[in-house]
Amino acid sequence: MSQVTGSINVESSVVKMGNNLISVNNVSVNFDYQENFISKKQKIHAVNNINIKIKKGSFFGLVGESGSGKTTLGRAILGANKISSGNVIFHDDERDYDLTNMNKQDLRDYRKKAQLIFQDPYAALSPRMTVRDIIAEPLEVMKITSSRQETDERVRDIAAKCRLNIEHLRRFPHAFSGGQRQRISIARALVSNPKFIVADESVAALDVSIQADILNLLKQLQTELNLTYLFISHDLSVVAHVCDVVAVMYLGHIVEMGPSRELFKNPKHSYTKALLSSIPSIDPEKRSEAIELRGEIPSALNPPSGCVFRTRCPNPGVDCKGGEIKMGLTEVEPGHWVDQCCVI
Amino acid sequence: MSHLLEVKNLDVKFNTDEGQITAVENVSLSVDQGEVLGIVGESGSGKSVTAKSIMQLNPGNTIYNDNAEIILDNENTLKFSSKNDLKKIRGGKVSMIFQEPMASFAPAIKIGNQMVEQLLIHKNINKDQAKSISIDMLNRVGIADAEKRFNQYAFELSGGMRQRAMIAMALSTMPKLLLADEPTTALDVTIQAQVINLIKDIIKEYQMGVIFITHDLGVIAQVADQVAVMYLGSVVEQGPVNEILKNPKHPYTKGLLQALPDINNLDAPLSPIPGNIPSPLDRPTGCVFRTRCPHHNPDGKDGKIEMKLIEVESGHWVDQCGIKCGKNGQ
Repeated sequence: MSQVTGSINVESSVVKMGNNLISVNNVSVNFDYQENFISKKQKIHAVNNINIKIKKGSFFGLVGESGSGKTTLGRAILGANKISSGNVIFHDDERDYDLTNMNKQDLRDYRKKAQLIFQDPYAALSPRMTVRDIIAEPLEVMKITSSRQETDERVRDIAAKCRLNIEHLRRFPHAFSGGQRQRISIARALVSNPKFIVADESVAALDVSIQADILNLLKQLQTELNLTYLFISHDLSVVAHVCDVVAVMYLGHIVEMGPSRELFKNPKHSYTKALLSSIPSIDPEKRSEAIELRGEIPSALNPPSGCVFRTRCPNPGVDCKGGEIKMGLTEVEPGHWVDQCCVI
Repeated sequence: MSHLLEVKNLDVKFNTDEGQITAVENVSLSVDQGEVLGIVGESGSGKSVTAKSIMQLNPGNTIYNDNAEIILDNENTLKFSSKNDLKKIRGGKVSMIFQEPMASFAPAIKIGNQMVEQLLIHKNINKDQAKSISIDMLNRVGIADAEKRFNQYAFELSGGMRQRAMIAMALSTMPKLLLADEPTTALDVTIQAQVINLIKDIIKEYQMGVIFITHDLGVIAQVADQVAVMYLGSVVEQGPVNEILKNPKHPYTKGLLQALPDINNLDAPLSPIPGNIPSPLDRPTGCVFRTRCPHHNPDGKDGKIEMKLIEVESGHWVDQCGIKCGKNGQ
């Protein structure tokens, strides 16, 4: 076992993965909060001291309950949230971008290379634009194409890749079902030819039969277009199916991280164990084996001291119950990192 | 033994600008005391419309067929029209829990007042009694500090707690039948597990009948005794939960099970059901599933086979077209 200093390298079991594309180093995101104008200013600790490395070509999963900081971390990596401390490096072929230190031109370049797919395909598409215009908008805003003809070509090309019917491009979003809309959102995200995609709960709003279709499409596009994903989800069975590497977040901290098969077969942290046991089993004979977690995720305004999970932990040790053990990841198996409180 | 609730030959149609839409066609269901009937299906399959028909909560442009019957306690609730009669089924004998607890509480009225209000309507008691019943009920569903929560607004509670309060409110009038419409869909898995256990405990204690609507087959496996699988307004397969999930016959049920990511079998590919659920405006004739069915038999493909449930094993009913298609697929 080695103690963590600085950054962590998660070696994945999957081959074909190259160098790091994204390095997140000691990133924290805080928000200012003031209940009303006379009360004291407080800080919401949304994301605390996160270290992750996302390899080129990987499908990196981020799971946790609502309020665990998954989305905030995803947005911070895209430069959509201000990073309070630490830095995020995007390793492009020619040069590295440091997200905390970018000029306007750099930011513009970065936006072409890193894109976001949203959760709700009903809210994410403007009802007043045709599908063609929705997909073409990034090209026009980022001035990637110079002529209308070129734009149309790119739109048709990406629409075909996302299995959208070319004849449908002149229609408006209301004519489409949830799955088709999500394919439009994916086409819009991919049209600028990005290398890195953050998919934030991108299948959560879909029916299971369609969810499988979108997941297969994301996988297929990954190999076709050499994409790297950060896949944010609260659904562990989905993450287990598509992701190579998974990080489990709780109250702004990563409590466990590792290659997805290893992590789901051999979970070490009691939060991961509880999450896994909470998934309703499809077998009616296996009822209520859930490790029930008492209560709910505490407020990020004043998180518990020491191990943040100790207030809900089903079997806390004496030390961690008192909050005397600091948060910090420890490597238990090659590439499998667990918060030290649950290892001791 | 007569059933607590019996729905017979229910058709629900809506009059819209684009024409008449068939939302539910020829649905027959029954629920016994202390039994949970799970209804599964994709969005647009008519699950909620069926449940709302029981309380006559569908909008004004709804048309029910004349020979449909919804028998609750030997009374046909579809024929209810007077205020007094409707009061009996809306919150009296029947209560409903909705998916989005934030949208179901009035935001500007304290939770306690909302609970008391409905108790005063349905029970012959005074305000103090209603308050003590409400606080007692909040305690029962595991809300700590019930007295404090009683005086709070919905936005002050977290998602899981709001859903618990919703359940407490639905149960406080001691209904005979509980309609739970996707009650855990908006919740995290850990909270979902808590709420499922709570609902199971309460059913056991009060011996009420429950219709549990969800699109999640895992949740169905955990709570239901009987299952009805709905597609585009029709029940395509129906039976005991073990039978349906372990021995599905209809290609739609099979498709749903194959599309579900199973954490215990990560090597299984995810196979979506091809195509999209058709618009209810152009509902296929004959077997409703034929436009997406992977193993259609020639007659079913042409829509020549009428929808009709056939008992394949004791208590396990499958649509007749689906039986043939299911066999072709093996």
